[in-house]
Amino acid sequence: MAQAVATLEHLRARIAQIEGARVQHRRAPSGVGAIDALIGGLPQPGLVTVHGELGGGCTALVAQVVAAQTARAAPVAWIDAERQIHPPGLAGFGVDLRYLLLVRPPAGHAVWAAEQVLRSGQFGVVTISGIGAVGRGGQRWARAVEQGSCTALVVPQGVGRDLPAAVRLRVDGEGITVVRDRRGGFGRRSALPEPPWAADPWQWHRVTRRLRGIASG
Amino acid sequence: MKHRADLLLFPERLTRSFPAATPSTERGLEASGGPAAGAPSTSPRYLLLYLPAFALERCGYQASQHAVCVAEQQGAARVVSLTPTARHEGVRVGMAVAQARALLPELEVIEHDPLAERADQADLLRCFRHLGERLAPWGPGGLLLEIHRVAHLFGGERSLARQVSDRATALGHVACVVVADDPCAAQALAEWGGEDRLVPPGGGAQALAPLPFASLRPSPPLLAATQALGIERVGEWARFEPASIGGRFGVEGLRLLRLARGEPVTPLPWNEPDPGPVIERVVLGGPTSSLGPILFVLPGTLQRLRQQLLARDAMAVRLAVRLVLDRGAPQVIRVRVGTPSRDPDRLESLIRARLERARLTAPAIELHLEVEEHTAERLWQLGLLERSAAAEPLADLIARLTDTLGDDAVFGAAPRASWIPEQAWVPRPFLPGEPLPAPPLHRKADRDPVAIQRQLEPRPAPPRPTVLLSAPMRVQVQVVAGRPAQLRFEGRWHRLQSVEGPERLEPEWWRLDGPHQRDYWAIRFADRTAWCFCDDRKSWFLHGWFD
Repeated sequence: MAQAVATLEHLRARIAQIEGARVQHRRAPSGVGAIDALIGGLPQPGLVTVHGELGGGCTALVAQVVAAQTARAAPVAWIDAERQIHPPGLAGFGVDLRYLLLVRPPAGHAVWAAEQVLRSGQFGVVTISGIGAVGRGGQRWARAVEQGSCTALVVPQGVGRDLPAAVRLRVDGEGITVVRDRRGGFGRRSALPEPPWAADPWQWHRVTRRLRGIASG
Repeated sequence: MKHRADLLLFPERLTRSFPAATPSTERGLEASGGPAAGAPSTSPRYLLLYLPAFALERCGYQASQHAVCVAEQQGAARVVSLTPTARHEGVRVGMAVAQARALLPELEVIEHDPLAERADQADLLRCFRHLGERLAPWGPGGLLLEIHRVAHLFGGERSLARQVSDRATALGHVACVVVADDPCAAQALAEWGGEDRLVPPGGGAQALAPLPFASLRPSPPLLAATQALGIERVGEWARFEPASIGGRFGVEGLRLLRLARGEPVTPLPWNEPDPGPVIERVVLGGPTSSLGPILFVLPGTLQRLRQQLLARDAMAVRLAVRLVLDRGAPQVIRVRVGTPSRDPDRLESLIRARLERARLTAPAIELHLEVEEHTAERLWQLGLLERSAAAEPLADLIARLTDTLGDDAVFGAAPRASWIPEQAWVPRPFLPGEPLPAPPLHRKADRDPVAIQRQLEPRPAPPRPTVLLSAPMRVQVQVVAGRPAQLRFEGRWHRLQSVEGPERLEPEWWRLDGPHQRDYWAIRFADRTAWCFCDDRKSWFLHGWFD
C-alpha cells in the first residue's frame, strides 16, 4: 500500500514537472514601433509571416526587426532560400553584419535547414525568406520554434497559408495590415516605418547632384 | 652492395645523370664527400626524393597517362594529384574535375585515398631503409633522408642521389631528387625546379633565389602581403633585414627569411616520431544494409577512439567515417565536430545524425573511424548572450549545417569596397561580434589632399536594395526628358509613381566583357520600388528590389 502511494506521488510530481515545463507564450518587444503598436511585440516562441508583393517592403520591415536585434549584439540567422538577399541593403537598415548568419541552402534543403536553426536555440529571431510551399514542414517549424524558444519571421513567396503562424502581416508598400493574430486585432493597420536613409531627403540629391545634368542633358 | 648490383642489373639507369655542375656546385660536391672524401661531412645535408604523381602511380597509372586523383574540397571534387602529362596539358592541383575534363575529355579520375596512400608510402620507405636510419616520409609522395653521415659510404652525395633516383624509377615512379641543406629548400627546388639537383653546402640561397616566393609555401595572408609589396622572387625576399621582416610579418616571416637565406630552419621528422593516424576499425558481424549494426558498434568504437585521443592529449576537429562495402569503393562520410571534443556521446550524436541521412550503396562489412584533424587546444567557446545554455553550441550547429549544405552555404557577410553592386560584399566565417575588416584606404589618399579631405567628410551611403537579382533582368522603360516615365513589367505598362536617380556607377572600366557604365534609378510603381539601371548602350535592366 505504501509503495502504491509512493508511486502515485511520484507520478503526480512527474505530471507537475511536465505541466510546469509547458511553453509560455509571450510577446517580446521587436524594436520596431509599428509592429509593437500593432501586435504588442513578437510572439516568442512563435511564427510570424510577412507577405506582400516583391518590392512592397516586406524585407525592409523584417530588416528593421533584425537591425534592432543586432543593435543589442544578439545574433540573428537569415535563411535565404532564393539566394537574393543583399547584405549591403540590410546594412542600410542598420543591420549589424557582425551578428548576422546567412544560410543559403541548396534547392530542397531549405525547410530542413530552417528547422535545424530554429531548433538550435542559438537565435532569438530567425528570418526565413523566399520559401514556397512547405507542406508538413510548417508543423515541424512550429515545434522547432517552441524547442528553440525563438521567433521565426517568414517572408514566404506567396501568402504562406500553410504555415501555422501566430501572426500574419500583409505589407502593401504603404502600410502594414494585421491579417491574423491569435490575440485578436484583425484588420488593424499602421504605416510602414521609414528606412533610416529616407530621413535625409537630400541624400539622393547629394549622391546624384553631379549626375542629374548628365542624364537630363 | 645491393644498390650496386641493382645498377648492374639495369645498366640503362646509369645513363640517368645529374645536371652538369656549376662551379659552385662542383665545390659543393668536393666538400660533400666526392671520390676524394673518405669521412662524413659535419654540416647537415638532406636528400629529398620527390614523387609528384605518387598517388596515381601507386594505383598503376603511368606518368605518360592522363590521370588525376581527386578529393572533395570546398563542395566540389578537385584535383589533388596528377601525372606530369596531365600537368603538361594545363591541368592543375585545386582545379575542379569538370574543368579538368573540359581540358582533357579522356582524363582518368580516381578518388584520393589518404589512408592507403600512407600505407604505400610506408612500403616505399622500406625500399630505401638500407640507406640510413634517418629516413622518413615527407609530405604526400615524398621521402627525406639525412645523408651527411652516410653519403661517403655510397660514393658521395652525387652517387647516392643517383642510386635513389634509379631505384625510384625502377619501382615505376617519376622521381626528382634534390640534395640541400634544408628539407624545405629541397622541397621548393623539387616542386618548382622540376629536375634533379645537387645544391652545394651553403648554396641554398643562390639556388632558391630565382624561384617564386610562393615556392616557400607562405600562409595566404603573407603571400597576399608580399604580392601587394611587389615581391615576386625568393631572392628579393632574402634581401630584407630580419628586423624589418620580424616587425611586419612575425615569426613566419622570419622563418621564411632564414630559409630564403639558405639557413636550415625546418624541424626534422625523426626528432619527433610520427605517432600515426588516430583510427579505430571494427569488422561488423556480417554484411549489413541497415544502420542498426553500425550504430550498435559505434559507442564502443568511439570509446576506444577517445582513449587514443587522451593518450595524445588531443581533441577531434574532423572525423571520417569510412564504411568498407561488400563491393565497390568504401563510402566515406566526413563529420565536422564544431567545438573540438573527444566526448563519445557528443561525437556519437554528430555521427549518428550524418549516418541517418546517408544511403549505403552496398552492404557494409567494416566500420573505420578516423580523426582526420585534431587539435591540442580547447578553442574559445563563442559568446551566446542569454542563450548560453542553448541545446547545441553554435559552432556545432554551423559545422552540422556546413556538412550537410556545403561549405559555401553558411557564412557571415562583410562589406567590400567595390562599385559593382554584386561584388559589394564577401562571405566570411560567422563569428558573432568579430570586427569586420576595414575597407582599404584609397591609395591616392596618402598624398592627394582632395582624397584626404573626402575621406574625412561624412558621406551618405547611397541606398542599396535588400533584394538583388542574381542576374539583371531586361525590361522596357519609356524615357521622357531623360527620366524614366513608364515601365513594362509582367506584361503591361506601369506609370511610375516616383523616380529617384540617377546614380552613375562606372565599375572596372578596363573590362572588355560588359557594359562599363550604369545609371541606377529607384523606380516606384504600383506600390513597389525597383532598382533599375540603364547601361551605356541605353538598354534597361531590373537589378533588384527595395523590398
